[in-house]
Amino acid sequence: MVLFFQQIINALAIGGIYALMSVGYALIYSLLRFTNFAHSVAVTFGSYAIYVALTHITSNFYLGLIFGVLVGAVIALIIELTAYKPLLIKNSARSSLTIIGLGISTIGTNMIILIFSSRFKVIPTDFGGKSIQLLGAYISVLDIIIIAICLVMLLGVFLFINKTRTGLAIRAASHDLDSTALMGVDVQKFLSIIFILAGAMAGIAGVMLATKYQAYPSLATTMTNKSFISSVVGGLGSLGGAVAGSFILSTGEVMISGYVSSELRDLFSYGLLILVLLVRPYGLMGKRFDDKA
Amino acid sequence: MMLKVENLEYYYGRIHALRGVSFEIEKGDLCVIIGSNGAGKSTLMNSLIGLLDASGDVYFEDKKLTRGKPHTRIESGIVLVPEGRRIFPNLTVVENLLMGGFTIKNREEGVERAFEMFPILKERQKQRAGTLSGGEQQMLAIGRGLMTNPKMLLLDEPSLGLAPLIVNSVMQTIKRINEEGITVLLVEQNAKKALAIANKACVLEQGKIVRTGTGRELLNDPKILEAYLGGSRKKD
Repeated sequence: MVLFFQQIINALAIGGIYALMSVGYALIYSLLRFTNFAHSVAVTFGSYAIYVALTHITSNFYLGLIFGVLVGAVIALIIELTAYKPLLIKNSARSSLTIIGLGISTIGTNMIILIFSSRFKVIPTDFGGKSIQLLGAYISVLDIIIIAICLVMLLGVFLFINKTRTGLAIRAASHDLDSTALMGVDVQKFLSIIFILAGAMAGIAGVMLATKYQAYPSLATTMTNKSFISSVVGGLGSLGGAVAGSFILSTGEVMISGYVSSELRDLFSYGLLILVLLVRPYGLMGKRFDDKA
Repeated sequence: MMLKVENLEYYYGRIHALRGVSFEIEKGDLCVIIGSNGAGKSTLMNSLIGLLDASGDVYFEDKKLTRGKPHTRIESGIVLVPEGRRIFPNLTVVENLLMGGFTIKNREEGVERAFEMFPILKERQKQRAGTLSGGEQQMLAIGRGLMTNPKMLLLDEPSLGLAPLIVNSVMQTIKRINEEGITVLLVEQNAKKALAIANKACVLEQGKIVRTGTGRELLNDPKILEAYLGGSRKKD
């Protein structure tokens, strides 16, 4: 029972991080109908931003977190403006955008190796190994902080989408982007806002991942693969689905690591992806689109 | 002069869809452009609103409009109610209206006005727009188009796919909107009903304006009658 409780907390922390990243995939997919594989770059830079911040700039974790958010947002905006926007204006095939994204993801990882080498970087925090005892289980302080921040962020996104003017435009655009232009939405500016939002969440995820697992060049690609699986399981383009998929995946992974074998964890994740694509390709809550790229 | 279009040209790849289209609309006009399928009607409307980047000059209230960018057109007072209505089916009726007022501050007034004009929308305000009938969706699309209180309303085939009785009521609504002072440019395949409410009309054929006149002149023209109004049947 204690192990189970501990695993649930772990699943919530990992699921929260997956959710921050998979919501980014879902947002961009729902508007542009392509998967932004360059999303991992914003996560990678977020994870190294917290390292740089805490080793060179400040000792305050939360200031470092804000720095990571800014770095993630700026990186996502740069990628949108330099790579995607020119292609979108030319109305290129969605597969071109997907391929460009994969290329950028590789460039991002290699840039990090050039700058920081491929060694693991420990993020120095006050709460590094600390834990508290709750219901007989030892819960790491970091996991509690991660869960709290992820919940606040996800709630913030939910309120933003459902209560604001821009949020309404996002919901409208998820059905028909051209029609939102007819309503007076400046589509290019609007898309930049979406990339900034997705990048900011990716930055937070990067900070959390680095603090939890240390920073290394392939950290983000491994983890964004998982969050991409989450958003496919939940249904590409569905924000609620992305969040649900994230927690389903993290719970499954954590339980299999805890009770069966941690070697089977990835087998479970990718097996789930294949199963979903075979049985229910549009996911738990997804809409059916004609062209998935 | 409300709208002046000069030498509008547009190509879809090699297809020459608009061939030097020029026309003028005065303030308060209800102008109808009739034309068959593929004549370039929607291309013309999408170019006027900036969804398509056509070459040529468009002057609105004597000011030249920059190419592209629909949102700048909406800010200057032109709104398009697009072909096929293109309401947001996943949003509620009220949310659709609020989207129509994306660029303005106070949106309550517009919503109230739309409800006054189309009481059925008020009854269905919390319903998802995708569940409305075709006629109701058209009312919603028009109500949404009026949210910013535009100076000029472009309507692209509002009668498409609607039952004849509903078409009559849509045409009456358009006439009423025009009488309230909004300049209207209406593109229609349903020529007879559209010409009946128009004070000015053009015929678009293969991307060119081939005839202009008043609505009545075109309605009584035997050639037009034959080509667009099913007049040839009289010979049977």
